[in-house]
Amino acid sequence: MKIIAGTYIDPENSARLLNRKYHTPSFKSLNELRLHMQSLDFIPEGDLDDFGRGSIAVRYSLLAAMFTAGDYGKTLPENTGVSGWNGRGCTAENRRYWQDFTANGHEAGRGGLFVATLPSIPYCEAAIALNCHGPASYLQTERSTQALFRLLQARPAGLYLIGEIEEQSACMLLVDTTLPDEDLPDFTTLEELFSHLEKQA
Amino acid sequence: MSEVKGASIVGTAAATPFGTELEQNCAAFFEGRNTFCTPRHYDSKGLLAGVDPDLDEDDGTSRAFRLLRKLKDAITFPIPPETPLFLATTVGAIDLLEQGSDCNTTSALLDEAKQIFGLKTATLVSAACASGQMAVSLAMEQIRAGNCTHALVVGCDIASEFVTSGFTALGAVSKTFCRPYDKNRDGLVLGEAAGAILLTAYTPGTDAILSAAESCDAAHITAPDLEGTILKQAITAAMAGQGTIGGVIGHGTGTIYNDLAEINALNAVFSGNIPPLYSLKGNLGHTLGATGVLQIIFGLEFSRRGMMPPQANLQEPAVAAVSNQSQPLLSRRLLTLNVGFGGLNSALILEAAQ
Repeated sequence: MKIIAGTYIDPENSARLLNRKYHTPSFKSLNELRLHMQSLDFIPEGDLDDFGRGSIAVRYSLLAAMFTAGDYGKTLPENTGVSGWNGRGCTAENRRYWQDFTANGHEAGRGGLFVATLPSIPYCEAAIALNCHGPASYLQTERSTQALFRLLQARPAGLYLIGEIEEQSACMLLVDTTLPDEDLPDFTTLEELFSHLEKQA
Repeated sequence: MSEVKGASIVGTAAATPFGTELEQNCAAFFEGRNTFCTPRHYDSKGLLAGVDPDLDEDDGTSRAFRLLRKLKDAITFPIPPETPLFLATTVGAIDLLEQGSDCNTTSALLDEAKQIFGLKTATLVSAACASGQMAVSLAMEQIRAGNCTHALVVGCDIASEFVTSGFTALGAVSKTFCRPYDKNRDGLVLGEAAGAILLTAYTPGTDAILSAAESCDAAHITAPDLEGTILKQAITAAMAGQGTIGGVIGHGTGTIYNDLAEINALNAVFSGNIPPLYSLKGNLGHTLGATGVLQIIFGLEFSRRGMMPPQANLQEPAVAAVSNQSQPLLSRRLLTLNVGFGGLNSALILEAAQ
């Protein structure tokens, strides 16, 4: 299995692409980053209709997935899978839905806020944006990239987008399970692995 | 599309409002009984739910922890010590949040599950209402890859005000009764249950999952593709080379859209001759992350008996394959389906030992 593309959106407000070695200008909001991304000619067409009403995790996932597809440089096969791994989960979304519901006297919840409480939703949004019909899910394991890759390697052959979203950052990698294994050290986060790959490149 | 080949089932256990004995549960299914009542542990605003009164005695922890302990007590098979755990859940110990905790509710349930089952390695699999079967697929892959000799898959979710209010906001909850595959169905009823399956490498002639496949509609975040096109692809992939399918345990939530998408996909796959079709949700309600695991556990027993239970609460069938009478299976091989928000689809084929 080999990592063939990747993106890191960092807390200092830029997005970095692994293969293209492209760094975006700094941005003040994720919407500003989206506008910049869509001005780049190597970013594929994608369905970003849900961006504006998506949670922070959904926005990070959409941006990281689109940038990573652009970093890959070819159209992703339709059977590409999309998975989330560890990161922040959806605790903030749970809290937001529940606070809103209780503030409304336990009478009316908001469907849009409720949907965001499922940890797999940001990755399903990425699948919609890029028309990926492979399996999509959110996985939580020990904090070990090698443990994650053991799981992925056993999946049926193909490409997988794997993302880790934190409160103010996101990392997404595209892996090809059909290629020979890379000899990589173990890391606790995808961001650490991304930084290692950047230094190697 | 993602396809996985088979695994043998070493042992199963279930904890539902009907009890923890397989016979208790199957008797209820074949008698068409359901678990629906007014929950006592939250204000459901008059909506019914399939709740387990055994869990009502508050011990200061999560109701989900009590459910897992009930499941653990029902397990009679040995679990090898190095077995990895695959936990399927949608919202985990969500009642902790309702009580004011700021914890990650899925992580809390994962940590508790590791302790209760005494296992060191654990993976949370969250794929909305398809979590159960997707966890089984992932576990099967790990066994086939030689990463482990056994894998324990546990599905667990509780009925809560959090989820009831959310599904209500989406217009998905029935104002009457959960009636899967009925012409006049009007929504789901929430349920709560847990199930466990111990898997190992496939040996012919055993209780087994023969194949599995997954796909994502990538169409809409809550609504399924009503044509069932991508679901059909997963079903076709899971059925490849499996011969005659004896019956289908559908996801069958009782919502208008879910059941329509499934019926359309099944009609396309079976050219309009769908084998006996049934959904557990007419009996247990929608048990979320547990439902896929329970479909396998009880599906094995239906396969063994060669009969599909009557569809509980059915009044006017939306399709000829569903009946309010028990139906003989066409073969021992059953197709079981899970569908979840985000357009997630899972199809697998199971068969009980001869």
